[in-house]
Formats: sequence, C-alpha cells, structure tokens
Amino acid sequence: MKNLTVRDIATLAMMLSMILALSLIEQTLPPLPMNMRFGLSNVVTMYALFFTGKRDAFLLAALKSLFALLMRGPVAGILSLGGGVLSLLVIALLAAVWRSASFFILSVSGAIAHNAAQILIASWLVSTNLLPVYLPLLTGLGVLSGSLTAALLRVVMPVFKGARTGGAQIQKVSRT
Amino acid sequence: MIRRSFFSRRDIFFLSCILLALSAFYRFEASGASGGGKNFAEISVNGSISEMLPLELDREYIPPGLPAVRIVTRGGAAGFVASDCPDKVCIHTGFLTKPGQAAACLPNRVVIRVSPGGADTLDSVVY
Repeated sequence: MKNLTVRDIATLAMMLSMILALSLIEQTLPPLPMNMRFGLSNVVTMYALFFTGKRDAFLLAALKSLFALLMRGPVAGILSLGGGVLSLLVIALLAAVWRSASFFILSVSGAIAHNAAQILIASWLVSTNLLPVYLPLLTGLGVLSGSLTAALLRVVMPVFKGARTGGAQIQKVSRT
Repeated sequence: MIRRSFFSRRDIFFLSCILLALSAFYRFEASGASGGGKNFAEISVNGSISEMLPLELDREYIPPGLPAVRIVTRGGAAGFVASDCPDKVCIHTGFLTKPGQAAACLPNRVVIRVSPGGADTLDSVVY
C-alpha cells in the first residue's frame, strides 16, 4: 500500500469536511420515522470508493465515526463505524463480483447494508433482537436513501472530477 | 477504467422485487396486528423484560438502577419522556401505539416494545 502524500491528505481532509457539512445540512431536514437519516454524506464515501481508492473510502468512514464518537458519544461512534464499514464492504465486494452493476444498485445495497449493520449493533447493545421490528423500515429507507445517494453522485461527479484535474489518475466515467 | 452506468433497465426489476417483498411483509404485518385490543408496553432492560404496562393506563415507569430514564404510558401510547443519553434518539422516536413498534435507548440498554397482550387476542391466523 502506497504512503499518504500531502495531496492525498489534503483531498481526504476536503472530503471529510464535505461529509461533516452534509451531515449538518441533513439535520435541518424534516425528521424521518424512528429517527433514521438519509445519509447524504455517503455520496462522498461512494465517490472515494470508486474514484480515489478503497483505502480513502475506509479511512473516511473511520474518520467520520471518530467524529461521531467525539461529538455524540460512544454509541453513535460504534453505530457509525459499523454501518459505514459494512456498507463499504458490501459495495466493494458487489462491484468486484458483478462488474456491470450500476451505481444505483450498488448504492441501494450499500444503504440497506448500512441500516442492517446499525440495527444489528443496536440489537447487540440492548440484548434484544430488534431486526424483525425494523426490517421493513430499514429496507424501505435503504432503497430511498440509496437512490438519493446515486442521484446525487450523478449530479456531483463532474464537479468532483473538475476539482481533481491535474493528475493523470483521473478515470473516465460513462455518462449514461 | 471504470465503465459503469448509473442506472440500467435491469435495476427496475431489482427495485420492484424489493418493493414487492416489502409490501408483502407489510400486508402480513397488518393481518397479524390486532386492532383495538389491549396492548402492552413491554419494557426490557439489558435484554430481560422488567415491566409490562397496559397502554390504556396513565402510568410512569422508571427502570431499576436508571433514575434518569422515564417511560410514560398514556391514552393508548407509550414512549420515553426523559433520558440522560447524549443524542436522545429514544425520546425523538416519539410515542408508540401499534403492536410491533419499538423504541430503544441504546446507551441505557432500555427497549420499549408494544405487544398485543391479553388472553382474548389471537396469537396468529393460519389460512
């Protein structure tokens, strides 16, 4: 694995601040049932996973949960870490196995995995199986927030690409 | 080089499969829920049930060893009204009225679940 260059660190810092800003914006949106959220900031981790590298995406997930740990306590931290890491794992595995999977399907699977991981961690914390209670909600909301993430990714991709111009490592994306 | 589309026609098929499964689940849930029966708030701490409160009664419950947590039942609903957890997710969940609904306070490991109690309700219906 390559060492982090100054450029990598700067890009990571910029992406992390985007994640935090998006989380903040999200809190001003009307609340969803059962205190669930849309997870707008997953746009940035999704982008990182596909266009700047897997390591960056996992680093961002870890940094985001560290922030949650500091701001909202250990429970929020562990929920954030579990959800973030599992959703990235699912997306990365699915993308590797199924080469032609669309960003939409990857994003929806990632969102469902994120919610499922959080419910499982919550069940473990309270020693009560909460999965049957939340299963329909987490799937429905996963589809909704996953679609939103994919749509946002479609919109912001050209902007992100422009921000990183100057490196030969930029990959082409089909615009269909 | 990544050649990946944002949305393909195939995705509509997957999406409809998920939504179909979801609606089937909801129909199943709706058929199992008893309407207007005597529901109970099942309060568990650390995974073991510590109290069952009928939803119709106006009661306040403070779980043993957790003086900062207050659970209230009133007018056929139950919910958290106070807790010392940092993000107050349990209170924001609001009041629960239907069987199967749940609210959880993760830091204090307290869960409220609404269960259709009483001997006059059916456990399940099999066709």
